[in-house]
Amino acid sequence: MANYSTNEFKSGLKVLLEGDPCSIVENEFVKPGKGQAFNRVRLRNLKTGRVWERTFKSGESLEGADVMEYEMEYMYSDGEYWHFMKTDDSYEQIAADKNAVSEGIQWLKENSRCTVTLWNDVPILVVAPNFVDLDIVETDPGLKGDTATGGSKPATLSTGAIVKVPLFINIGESIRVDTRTGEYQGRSKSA
Amino acid sequence: MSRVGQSMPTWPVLQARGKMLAAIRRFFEARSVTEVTTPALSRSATFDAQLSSFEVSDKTNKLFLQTSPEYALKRALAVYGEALFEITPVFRRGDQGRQHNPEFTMLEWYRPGFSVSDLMAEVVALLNALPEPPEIWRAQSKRDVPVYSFRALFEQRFGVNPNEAALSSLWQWVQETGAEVGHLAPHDDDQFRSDCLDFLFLAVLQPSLDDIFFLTEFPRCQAALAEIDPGTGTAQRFELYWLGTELANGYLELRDPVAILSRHTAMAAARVNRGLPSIAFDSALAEASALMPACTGVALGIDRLVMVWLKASTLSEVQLFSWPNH
Repeated sequence: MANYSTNEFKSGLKVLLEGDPCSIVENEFVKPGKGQAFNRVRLRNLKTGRVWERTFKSGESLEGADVMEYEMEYMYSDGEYWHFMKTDDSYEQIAADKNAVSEGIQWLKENSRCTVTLWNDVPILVVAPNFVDLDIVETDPGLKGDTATGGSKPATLSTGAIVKVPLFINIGESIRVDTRTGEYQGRSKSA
Repeated sequence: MSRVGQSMPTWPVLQARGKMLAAIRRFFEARSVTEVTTPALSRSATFDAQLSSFEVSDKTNKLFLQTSPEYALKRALAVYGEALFEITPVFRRGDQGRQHNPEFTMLEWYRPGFSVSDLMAEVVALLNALPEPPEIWRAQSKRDVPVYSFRALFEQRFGVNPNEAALSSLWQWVQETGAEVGHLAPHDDDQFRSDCLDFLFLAVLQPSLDDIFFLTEFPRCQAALAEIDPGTGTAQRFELYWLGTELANGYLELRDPVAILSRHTAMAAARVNRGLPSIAFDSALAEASALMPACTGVALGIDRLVMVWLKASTLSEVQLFSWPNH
């Protein structure tokens, strides 16, 4: 892969930092009056999703990372691997291990679409869409008419994820969840 | 999609900029400071290790785009000895960001017989002569712009004169700020002292200062081409800060050619330590400095001035075709 100098850094560029593939979030050139010029860079570690802040001497370079993101459909799990298929008519399939699917998998039901990040053709991260609609398979019985007290209770979704829902929500209902925060957003519009 | 019109200043911004430039020229005309024009292409380049010049060479000459008109204006001062100013494009390789563009417009002027405080007062008078001041300046101009001493601020906070603090202490304090300092590699030279002091000023000292202030009494390692005060050992230079942005930088100009040579030698060593290209000593600058009258001079970034005056946050809002749209 090519090397990228700090003046080529821009958001979305994929680089290697400390052996991990990262995506540049933000790059700011800073030059104090008389001191050394530098770039203050925020990068998202694509393996962990964490954001790192680093400073680089201006003109320093980082190795590019062979990272591709694909929209894929989640097919099934065999217990050890989770299998995905590209949605670009190639029907190409890949298997992701537990580290790659990490927390994203709890929001994915079969046939739903997600973003799979491949590094050197190996899946490293599976990200569910920001909002998903899932059915409730288990929760305490709803309290009729109780729509205003603001209380909540845990509910288990069809994928196994557990979220807090308002007291009036019942088993069998479909709800919308923000996968970034794991928060209940409302009843599904289509339901 | 057409690129025409992308990331361009609005027309009212360009009108305001034009009016500010006209007001600056009126201000200097009223004070009998004469506008001159010096070449943008020069045989010599700045030896400052923190500045990088564009090289523009033809078959016979190795030329540089000026990083400021300082050397040329000093050569003119040596001949005419009169107060003069220039508004000119200057070029700094690699400086590109929200508040940096590799090409920008600089106002630089020289005042024979002026002290540092005379010149600071003139900077304030110039800003007061500009049209439609923003609220922050209207409030500021009702009282004096505060003047802080780098030396005094540093001594208060760290208990030691910045000229004398051990490099190892400075480096430790830098690391104790908890900030990412991956760009600072320790070197055993004055440039590293300057880098550390600069960092400590930005990270530790500046946050508690006013929105607009002058900074004076710089450490010796940041003297550039300013005289050293023999009493305090500090560089007789000043800077104007506006909400964390450096707007202007002035010196009591160094005239001793031997001192200029020794500063060049120190910078040359710093350049070697950092793998930067070496810059030949400009003997014309040294000769001219010895012949020019005792004077102070100041450089002010026009684009940044327009930016803060119009409350913009990036140069591209006030500068036509800023990089990468050039």
